[in-house]
Amino acid sequence: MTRAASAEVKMEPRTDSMSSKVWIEAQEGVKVRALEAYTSTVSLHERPLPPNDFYDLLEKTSVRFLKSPSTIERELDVECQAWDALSDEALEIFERTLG
Amino acid sequence: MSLGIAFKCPEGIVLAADSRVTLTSEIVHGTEKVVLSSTFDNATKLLRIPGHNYVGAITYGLGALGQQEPRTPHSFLPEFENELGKGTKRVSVLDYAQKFSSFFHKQWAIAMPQDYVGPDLVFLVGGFDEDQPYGTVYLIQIPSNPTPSEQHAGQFGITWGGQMENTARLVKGFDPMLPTMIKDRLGLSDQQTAELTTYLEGKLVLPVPYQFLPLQDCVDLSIFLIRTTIEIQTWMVGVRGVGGAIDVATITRTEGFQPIQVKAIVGRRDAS
Repeated sequence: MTRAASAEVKMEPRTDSMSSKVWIEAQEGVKVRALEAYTSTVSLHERPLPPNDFYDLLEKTSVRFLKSPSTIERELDVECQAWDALSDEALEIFERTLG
Repeated sequence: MSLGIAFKCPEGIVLAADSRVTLTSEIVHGTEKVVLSSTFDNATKLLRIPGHNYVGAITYGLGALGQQEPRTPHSFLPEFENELGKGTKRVSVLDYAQKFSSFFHKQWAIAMPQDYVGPDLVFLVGGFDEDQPYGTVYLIQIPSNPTPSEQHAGQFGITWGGQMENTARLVKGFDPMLPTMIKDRLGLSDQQTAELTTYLEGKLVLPVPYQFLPLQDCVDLSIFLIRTTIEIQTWMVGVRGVGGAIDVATITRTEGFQPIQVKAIVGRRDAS
């Protein structure tokens, strides 16, 4: 008989439980905060901030939560502008449908 | 053996359980005794009483009452419903848990031998009291501790039981046997073992923010934990006591008991 097959089989059912309190109290170095509390509401109808201000904002936000701020690709700004254009178009279509 | 979960979160209660019941039979041939295990994968362990829409239960541990003519706890619900009476006004979850415990304790005394040695019949009863913002979950262990014991009073979290080892390894970071193994190996006292267990839990537990999780995440996590035990047992040597469909329901303050995924009675799947 193999060692695994001869291992004792625990048959009695047991009950266990866990809550956040256990790890929050034990791991004092971990701070969990809702990210939404630190960012402003983004309006779909407004153009995103100019590139320099945008990256500056991200860098300031990232420092609070990340050990090392991530590098934002320049293509992100282009993508944001594309989404902005799409949302404007969607709004126009919606207004025409209402009209 | 089963695996049952009761998840208390701010948005509601999640009750989840597998569907496998294992019956063991002893066959005696002369001086030889052969023990055979037979699994049945269509048992209902998610319990709901019609007309009592803000409470529910799951069961694990002993899969059936009675040794000559075993019956599942679910099969006793019509009698329990009769005992509660029709048109009964809404009672508190604690009252319901006490009635539940009393009923099944009585059935235990009728069906089980005095010298029984084995697992308890365990229930997790969850629900909402009228005009209360959050739900409550009570643990009932028959016959060893039939008094309902509230779980996560004043906070939120998850309670699980049955073949719990794999869930414990995932959620707490270690097998439930580990503290006892270290205690025996190093000759620790009970207090030292308790301190060690608290320390290990604090350091190794999965940092799941139970009080933050939306109800859908609680449902998904409950299914994941039961599914993981079912699947990992297929590669292990040992008792494969968790299997079949995973039944899940939520209980919320506004909607009451809502089945999320519950197995249905169907005809032959091959249509022949």
